[in-house]
Amino acid sequence: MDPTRLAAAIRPRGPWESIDLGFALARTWFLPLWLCWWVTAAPLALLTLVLLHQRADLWLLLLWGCKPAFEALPLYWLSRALFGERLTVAVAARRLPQALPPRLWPQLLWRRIGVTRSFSMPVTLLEAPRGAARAARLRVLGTGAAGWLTVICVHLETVLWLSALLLLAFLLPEGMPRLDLEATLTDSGSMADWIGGLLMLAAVSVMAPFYVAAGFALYLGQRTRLEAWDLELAFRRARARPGRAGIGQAGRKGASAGRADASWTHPGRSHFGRGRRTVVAVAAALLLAAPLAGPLSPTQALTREEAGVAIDAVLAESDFGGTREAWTWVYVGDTAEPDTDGDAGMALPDGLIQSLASIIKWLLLLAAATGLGLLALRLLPELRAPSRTRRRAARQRPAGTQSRAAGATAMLPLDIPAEVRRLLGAGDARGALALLYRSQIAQLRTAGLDLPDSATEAECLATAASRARPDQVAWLQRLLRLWQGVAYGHRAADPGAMASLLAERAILMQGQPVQGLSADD
Amino acid sequence: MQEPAPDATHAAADAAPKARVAIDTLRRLETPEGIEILLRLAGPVPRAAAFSIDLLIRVGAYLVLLPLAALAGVGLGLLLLALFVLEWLYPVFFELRSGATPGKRAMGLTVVHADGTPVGPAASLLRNLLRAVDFLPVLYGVGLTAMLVDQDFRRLGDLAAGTLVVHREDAGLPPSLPAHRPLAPPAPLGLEAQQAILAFAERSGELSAARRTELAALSGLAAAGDRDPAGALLGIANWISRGKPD
Repeated sequence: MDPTRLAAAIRPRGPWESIDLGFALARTWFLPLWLCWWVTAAPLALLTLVLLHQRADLWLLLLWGCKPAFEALPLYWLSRALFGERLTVAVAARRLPQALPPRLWPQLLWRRIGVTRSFSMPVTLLEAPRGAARAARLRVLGTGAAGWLTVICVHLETVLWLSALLLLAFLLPEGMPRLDLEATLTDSGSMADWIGGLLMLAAVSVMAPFYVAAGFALYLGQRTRLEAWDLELAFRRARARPGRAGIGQAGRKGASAGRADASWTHPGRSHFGRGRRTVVAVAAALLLAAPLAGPLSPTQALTREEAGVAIDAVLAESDFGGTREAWTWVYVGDTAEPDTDGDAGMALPDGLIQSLASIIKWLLLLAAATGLGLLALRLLPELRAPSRTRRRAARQRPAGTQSRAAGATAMLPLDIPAEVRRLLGAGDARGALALLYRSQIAQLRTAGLDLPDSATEAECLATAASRARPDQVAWLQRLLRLWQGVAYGHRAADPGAMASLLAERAILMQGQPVQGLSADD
Repeated sequence: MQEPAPDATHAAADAAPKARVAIDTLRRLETPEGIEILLRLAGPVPRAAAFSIDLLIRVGAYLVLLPLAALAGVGLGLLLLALFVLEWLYPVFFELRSGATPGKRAMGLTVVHADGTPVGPAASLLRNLLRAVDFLPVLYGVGLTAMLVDQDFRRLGDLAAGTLVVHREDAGLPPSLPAHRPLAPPAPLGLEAQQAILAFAERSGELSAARRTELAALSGLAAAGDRDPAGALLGIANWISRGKPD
């Protein structure tokens, strides 16, 4: 028995609802149940037919008496199918000795009269109590609906039988012999009697699965109501499925580890930190959102990309983002209601409103005139001021930044070494280095190198390295190291290094002017 | 993360065709507001019982009206009119008035549209006029067959009118938990386990003390040495429903 594979929804139901569940079960599994009924019924019917071929009524009476034996196998099949074990009819037929009640005779003799057969049958077969225990058990579980179920099912059988019989009688073609309905009841052994008997057997066999299943469902319903059988199954299921959605880890060690039954927890995960535990709890909550249908195997886990595609697919559906709300003004006519009671109380004389309005109008005009006057006072000095100089200054400004190379050279002194020495003499090593650096950049630019204003020292060096001569680059490198040390490191520049830089610059400028670079282009 | 959490809707969509749907008599409807309505369908047996009660009531009415036959022509005419009205309009009248004939009400049944709304005049009239078809060839043979075959226990009249006969929801008291000091569960619980524990707490009043203890021990959530496992489970239920105590 596998309680995790319950084929029917078990929950607390009233007796009538339980019977309905039984009918739903029987409809779903009608064919196997019906065949299971015939497994026992057909051989017996054929055997007794040989003995009682004279009397259809006696034959039916005998079969009616043996109905508990016929119903054992459908019940056995049903009790297995409920837990997901679908036997084939052949297999079920081989298990007939197991399926029959341990003591069949009481069922066929004195208990045959009882009206709660389909309900007491599961108790007898599945719990197998005996004697007083059986009576006590039935008393505890019993419900009035069990008797009504039998009564109503007998009537439904009759309805089916009569309907089939009448349908046959009505639909027989003209030329064929009429079916004498009266003879089916009175004339024993006649043709009509046998037809009626066979139809009766068919009706009984059709109702049998429903009757058995309804009794079984009623038994389950009573156990659910009285013993919370569904909760027992749920608890068992939860214990049997470690690691499934939501069953997290215990996260408790030592003495308290015994508190958590291992099967409620994820095996092998008991040493998590608090943060990890939170993550697990969130994961568990996410997994809870997945419905309980089907276990989640690791292969079903989505990768990030797959999940992205899946989410996009969901978002593309019409449920998301398909609607648009637009607001427009629509003229619906004049809805103003003249002379309502509320307005009448608030009404002012017309003359007063007129004068108020004119006062406000003049106030507004006055305010506007004052504002204009103030503006004029504010603007007059500006207008009176000589406009020519300002305009010239504005025209000059862009000229200063017209050309980066020209601008940079224009701001440089003509005799750079002299200026550098002067600055050095004044103790401004920083200014001297900056001047050297600037002049070098200007030279590089003049030589056609593209050095944006934002270029850093390293970028300048890299650009120069690709185009200039190695000794020039080496010189620039030394300059930059000194400059960076002074400018960013606030280290005092070495006077000797400065002097050698100046001397080498003179040699470089003499030997091969930097302008020579442009010859490469 | 112990398992990457797949997108919930996709897991459902993928699992839906493969998963065995538990056989049930529930029909689930979802309103546009996203509220799920559960209809508990009523099968042939309670409906037959309801029909029998209605039949008894009608027979009683005929017996009361029978003395009219003594008035010869007019009386017989009146009797036939009463017969017509009672046979055809008795269910319609009661279904429109309260959703159920007296027999159905006694059995706790009610007639609704397939979308769960109360049955309207058109549907009620249609389903009751088609009783004539369901009655064929005798004693509702066609209707019974249709009910046994149809997934929602509908007879032909119900199929034509788009109605269902369902068990009425009795507006009982909302379920309440027995008060108990909240206890943290020893391990994070799955949804099903949580629901089972809450249901256990709500229904514990109907169970015997021995059975309560047995079930609680079966859950494996109470401490091994706990002398009152049922109490521990009630504590966990209170924890689930109300959270940690302040």
